[in-house]
This record gives sequence, structure tokens and C-alpha cells, in this order.
Amino acid sequence: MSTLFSRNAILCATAIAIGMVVFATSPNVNAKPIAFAEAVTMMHERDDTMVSTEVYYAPKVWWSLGIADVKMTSENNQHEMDAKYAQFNFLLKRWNMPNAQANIFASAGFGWADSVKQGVTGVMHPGHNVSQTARYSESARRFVLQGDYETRQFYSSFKVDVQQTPLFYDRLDVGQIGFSPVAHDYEDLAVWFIAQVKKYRGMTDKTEGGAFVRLFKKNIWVEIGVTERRKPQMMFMVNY
Amino acid sequence: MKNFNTLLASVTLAAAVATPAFATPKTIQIGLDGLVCAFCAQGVEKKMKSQAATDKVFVSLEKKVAVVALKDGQDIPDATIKAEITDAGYVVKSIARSEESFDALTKKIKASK
Repeated sequence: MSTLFSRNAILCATAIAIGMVVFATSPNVNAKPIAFAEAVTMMHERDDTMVSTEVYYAPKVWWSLGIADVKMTSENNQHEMDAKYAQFNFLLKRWNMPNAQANIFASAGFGWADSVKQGVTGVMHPGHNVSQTARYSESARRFVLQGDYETRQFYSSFKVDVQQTPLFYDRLDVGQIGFSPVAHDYEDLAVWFIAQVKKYRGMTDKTEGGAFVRLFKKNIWVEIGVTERRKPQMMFMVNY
Repeated sequence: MKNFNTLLASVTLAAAVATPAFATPKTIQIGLDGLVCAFCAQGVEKKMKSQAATDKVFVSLEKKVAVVALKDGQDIPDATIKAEITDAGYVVKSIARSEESFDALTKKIKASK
């Protein structure tokens, strides 16, 4: 048991250390695209298949506008895509309860995607494969639907993120559930433990679990964790 | 002219004696629904700080309140408070004005169970 604990502790410490090193760099986590009215929100997220940077300005609490850069790599490393979107985010519905809040957001992004796809196309000599790399640029669209329900000690969310070009379709579904051992207040450092399941379809086809720690104080939100395959994932968000 | 000045002084003095001291609020306590995270608190804080009559703002997620310290002799109408909080995405449950100082009131709120 103690050996197991030590091993997990080492894994956790390693993940946090890696996270701190890479720090500023994953669109798989369900951060809200609108924090509050008249706020700029910057998000940077990274995991083993995706890196995204998003900046939004919310004139009102029910909508925001900005840009998103999403870089994706298939698990076999044979397909890479870098998409840039002008993105609109809408708060479709908010429920304000005495001790909880729930939201539904929808986003639509329109832009451009540059892709590189490597594939084996034939055999020139026995044992000598000929590979070809295809590069193409095309228009891209992104649609996101996400929802959350949270109290000061319980958090749950879902997200469906679809990216599409004339030649490419990718969908990522993310579900998260978490808790905070302490009911934090505004000035406190909020510490959350979140479990996550992601289902990838398109560029990568897999379902993968993960867990991370969320640290949240005032206008800064940091998430560091690992997937079940022990790949690091992290997210950084700031509002001002 | 002298008579007029005497009359004006008399009226002013009489009014000062006859009128009870007007209770000028120093703070406004706003009860809120939907406050669960620091971003919520930030949104409320930012909205209330944008008011010209606001000196400073305290927000408690635990007590579900915002306290606004008012500048001397100034106030924020209820309708404005409701509009600003609604615009921030939250629901106002109550508004109470107080002559208590900001520090005293926030201390009391923090200490309350």
C-alpha cells in the first residue's frame, strides 16, 4: 500500500512539475467562454492531442467574441491540423439559485484550417514503402455546446466540441465531475479535484479518463492533471 | 436686504432645529443568488465599482452578499443596483442600507454564522 501510495504520489508530483514547467499551455477542459460582463478572458490549454489558445471579450454577460487557435494531432501523429477561428460565444441560459448556479453556453467559430496528413501510398520495392504527405488549407467551422452545474463544493459539466472542414470532421465530448473539500470564499484559494471522461471521434477515436487538480483564486484558474494513459493535461485561464 | 438676511438665517436655523438628522447611508448590503465562484464575485465587484457613488466593494460567496461602501453623501438607487446586478448575470434578493461603516459591516458579516 505504502509502495503504491508512494508511486502515485511520485506520479502526481511529476505531473504537477511537468505542468508547472509547460504551464502556459488544453481545449478539452470545460472552462467557461464568458466569465462576466466587460471582461477579457484568456485561456490556454494543452493535452497530448490538442493545444488551444483562446481570447474573448464579453461586452455583456450573455455573449462574447474573440479568436481561437486550435492545434490538433492524431494519436498516430499522421494528421495535424491548425485551425484559427473567429468565435462567438453565447450564454443561452443561466439558473441562479441560492446555493448553486447552472449555465448552458453555445459557441460558433468560423475560420481557416491548415492540415498536414501523412500516409503510406504504395510499395516501391519489397520492404520499401513510399509515403506521401498531403498539405491543404480549407475553411473550417467549429460548434460548441457546453453546460455546467456548480455549487461552492460540487462541480459538473459537459461539453460537445465539433470542428469541421470540407475534408475533415472531429468531435470531442467531455464530461467532468468534481468536488472541493472546502467551501471557499472569494479571497480564498479554491482547490478542486476533478474526474473527466473524454470521447474523441474523427482525428483520433478513443475514450479516455483523466483526473486533475483545479486551483482557482480571484481571476486566475489553473488545472493540472493526467490522463489515464499518464499523459499530462493542463489549462490556464485569466480574466480581467 | 438686512431684513431678508435675518429672515433667511432664522428660517435656516428653524429648519435645522425642527428637522431630524437625516440618516445618510454609508453602506449598502446586497443579498444575491447564484454566487458560487470567484468569477461571479468578480463580475459583481466590477459592476458595483463602476458606480460613481461607490468607494469600495466587498463580496462574500459564503454569505451570498455584496457590500458597497458609499462615498460621503452619495447613494445608488435600488433600480440601478438591480439593473447592474442583473446585467452582471445575477439575481438581487435584498437591498439594505446602513449607517454602519464598511469595515464594521464586513467584519460583522464575516463573523456571522
